[in-house]
Amino acid sequence: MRRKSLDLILVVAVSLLGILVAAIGGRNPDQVNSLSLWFAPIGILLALFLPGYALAVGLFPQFDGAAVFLLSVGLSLVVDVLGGLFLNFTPWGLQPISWAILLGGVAIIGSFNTAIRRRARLAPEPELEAISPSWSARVVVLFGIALVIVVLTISLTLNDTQGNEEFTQLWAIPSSEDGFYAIHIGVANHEGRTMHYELYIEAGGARLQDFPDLALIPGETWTNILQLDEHPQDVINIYLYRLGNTQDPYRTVRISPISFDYVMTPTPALTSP
Amino acid sequence: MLPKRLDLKAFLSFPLRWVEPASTEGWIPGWGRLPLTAVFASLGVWVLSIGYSRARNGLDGGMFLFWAGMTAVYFPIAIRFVAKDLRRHEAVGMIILLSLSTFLFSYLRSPLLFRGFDEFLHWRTAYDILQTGHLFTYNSLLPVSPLYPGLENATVALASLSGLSIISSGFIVLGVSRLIMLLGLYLIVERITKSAQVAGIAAMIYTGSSTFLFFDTQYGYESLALPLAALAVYMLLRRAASYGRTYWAWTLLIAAVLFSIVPTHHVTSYLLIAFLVLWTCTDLYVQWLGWEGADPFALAAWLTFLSLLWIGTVGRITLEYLSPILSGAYDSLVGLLTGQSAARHLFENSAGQGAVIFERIFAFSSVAILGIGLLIGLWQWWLRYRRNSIAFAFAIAALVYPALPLMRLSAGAWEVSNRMSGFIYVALAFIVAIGMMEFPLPTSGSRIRPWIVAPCVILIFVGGVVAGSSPQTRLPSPYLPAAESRSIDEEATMAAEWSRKILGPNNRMAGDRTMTTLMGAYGTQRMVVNLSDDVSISGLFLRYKVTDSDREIIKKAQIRYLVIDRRISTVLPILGYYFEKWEQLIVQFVPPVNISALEKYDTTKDVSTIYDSGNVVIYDIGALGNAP
Repeated sequence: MRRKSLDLILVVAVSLLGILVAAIGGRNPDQVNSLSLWFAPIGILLALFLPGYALAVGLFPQFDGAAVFLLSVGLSLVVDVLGGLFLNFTPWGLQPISWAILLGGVAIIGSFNTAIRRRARLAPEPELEAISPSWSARVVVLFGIALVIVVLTISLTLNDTQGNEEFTQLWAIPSSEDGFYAIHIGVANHEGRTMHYELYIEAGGARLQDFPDLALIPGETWTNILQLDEHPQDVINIYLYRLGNTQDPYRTVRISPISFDYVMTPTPALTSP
Repeated sequence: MLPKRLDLKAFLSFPLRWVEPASTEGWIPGWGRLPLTAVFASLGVWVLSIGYSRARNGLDGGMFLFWAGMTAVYFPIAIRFVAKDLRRHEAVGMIILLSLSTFLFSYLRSPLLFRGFDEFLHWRTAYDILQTGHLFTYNSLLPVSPLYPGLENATVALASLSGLSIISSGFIVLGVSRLIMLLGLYLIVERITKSAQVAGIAAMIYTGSSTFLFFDTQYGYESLALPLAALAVYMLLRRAASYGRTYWAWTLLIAAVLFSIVPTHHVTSYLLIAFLVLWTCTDLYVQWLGWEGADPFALAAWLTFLSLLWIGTVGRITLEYLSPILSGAYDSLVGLLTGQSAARHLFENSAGQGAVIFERIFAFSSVAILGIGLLIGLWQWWLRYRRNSIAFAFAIAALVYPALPLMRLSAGAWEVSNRMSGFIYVALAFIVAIGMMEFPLPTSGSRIRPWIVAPCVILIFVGGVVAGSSPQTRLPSPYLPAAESRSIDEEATMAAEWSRKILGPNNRMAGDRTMTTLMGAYGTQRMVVNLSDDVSISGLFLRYKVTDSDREIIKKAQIRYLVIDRRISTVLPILGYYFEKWEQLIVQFVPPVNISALEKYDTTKDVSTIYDSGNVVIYDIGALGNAP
């Protein structure tokens, strides 16, 4: 049985690996790292193929590759949809580890069920010939050419749609806590080249602070906290100039004194690097 | 090594040999011509991507390359589906090829970002699920979206397990859904007709639905629900051939598939109920006549029960959400039929931009072909398949088709017609396919069938593309303000990401239509909109001074931030409005909106300008709502 049910053994093995990866991973989908990309194929299989395959492959009196494939991906999506509803009502909610246990569990239980059906000769073994005809060199070359063209097309399009706009972000967020007042200032360079800026902070006609040469490489963000001695009485203007052009402010933000009375709680992202 | 001499005759006869059983050259046992067809398809996708790139960079020729790429993909596949020597491996392979190619047509328009209005709303729902670990969070932009989290569940499952982003995971789910739809339809028709050719042509005809190419690959709930419905129908057909414990295993799995459709998309559930009820009726009829049936009644009842349960518990606002759309469509249609309202201009978008003449001709031709195909198909159905209960149900459902082009004449009903086509075309594709492929021709004329059917199938597809997208929205384009998805650029997107990272989520904010969707989705802000807050925000932007009524609105809706894209002052809005449909009733103005009105907050007392990226500005207006 072990030799004949190689497909089911693979399903169980990959499911267990997926659960293990989720247990030690704790990956944040917002921050794709190199480790998670290595395991992405396992996650894709676990979410979109294995549960459905384990449930479907034992249903057919004769192995039908197209139908099994359809049911494998279709039923996996069904398990995802219903699994989300189920997990929502558990104390753990929809977390990577709970997903992995649920989907891996369905795949493993389904595999055992199919193995039992096969032993009772109720379900067929997959036949490789039913899935794919012979692979001659010519077939491989032609499919390979098609694949290369598609991969190149996608990568060229990704490159073409990468942002090529040129702009600079300037921001200022007031904060107050226990009688201390501050402004969190930030500049981000998206100009696609190294930029040299001058930044001036004024209030009531008086210069509070100058940053005469801020050099930022493309994609770099500069942040600073301006500490204030007391509750400001005047509007605080912050001007950002491109170096050498102090006539026209490139960006301008201004903080009204009353804004310090309606401040938001500073988020961790506001702290200086 | 170059051939010694060019065999001109062989070269010129290549298109003819494409449909002939070629026992020697060009023939690959088992695979048929699939490998070569795959090369053609990939070249078509490549040509189309060049068209997209040119359009994205404001260069000419994009539309020509779009159609050229489409033809390079479609023509070889259509020709092979009517070839005499088509084998099942090749047919299934071509269905997969067709699914992937048509998915890439949509994906390559914007591979890095979701850009459709609905896509932003569902991205936000998925993001909230990922962040909170729970379903049914509030989404002010589309409150009904979190109540149908099927698509988001699948996306979140994939994102959680693979480490991919929501957008990448969403695209993979959409690609898989496209595959399920076409392969499911192919297997349904193959099961009924026992013909890979008819099934393949049916799948190709289905791609002529106006929602197929772009709408049904956008990140929206129908894109998953419709393929699941096709899967359920196929499984019901397969169950009919099983018995004993296997029969009950099929029943359990079908019940699960139907259950999964209910929290995925409301309209798909209701239309599937309607179809299953129709199928139950035809099934009872054919069984009464002594023929075999598929017994869909119990599962139709199960789906009905679940849908009612969902509306009664989770999705209470669904009917409230759908009824204005349906009643508006009904009123508009009645107005058109009674002559009280004028017909809508066909092939024109809301900004009055229209399709070119050849596209109009193709669209009318496709309607004519489908109409004729429907008549011939019904005749063939009567001769060959009237004892089959699902074929009977398809024949009745396909009769709805003539109403769809008529509904497009009505301003209020055209969208319902557009959305319905994704469902009706399943039945229509089957009937027209048997009409095309099983219409008897004399032996001498049988060789010309491929050369009639293949162009007709391509024309049907082209007609669907023209009906489903205007030339202005079909291709990507350079940035244009106040123009829906064309207004999504890096600067606006970065403003949204800045607000998420620096301001934190769920600050109450207002903006124009584009910034509202961007900030509400990628910015994760709590956008103030009339649908959720019962206030009109247009006056806050369009008036030249901040008035007492503005302060009242800010106070009532607790608006903390305003986001303004100054570029909207340079153009007319593509939908006819910048903020709300009724904005001219609040502040009468001659578009475009005056920049002075937008920039009044730069000099308004107690307002802070907290963000400036050149074009996009964010104001903190919290103090205005709290001022005495």
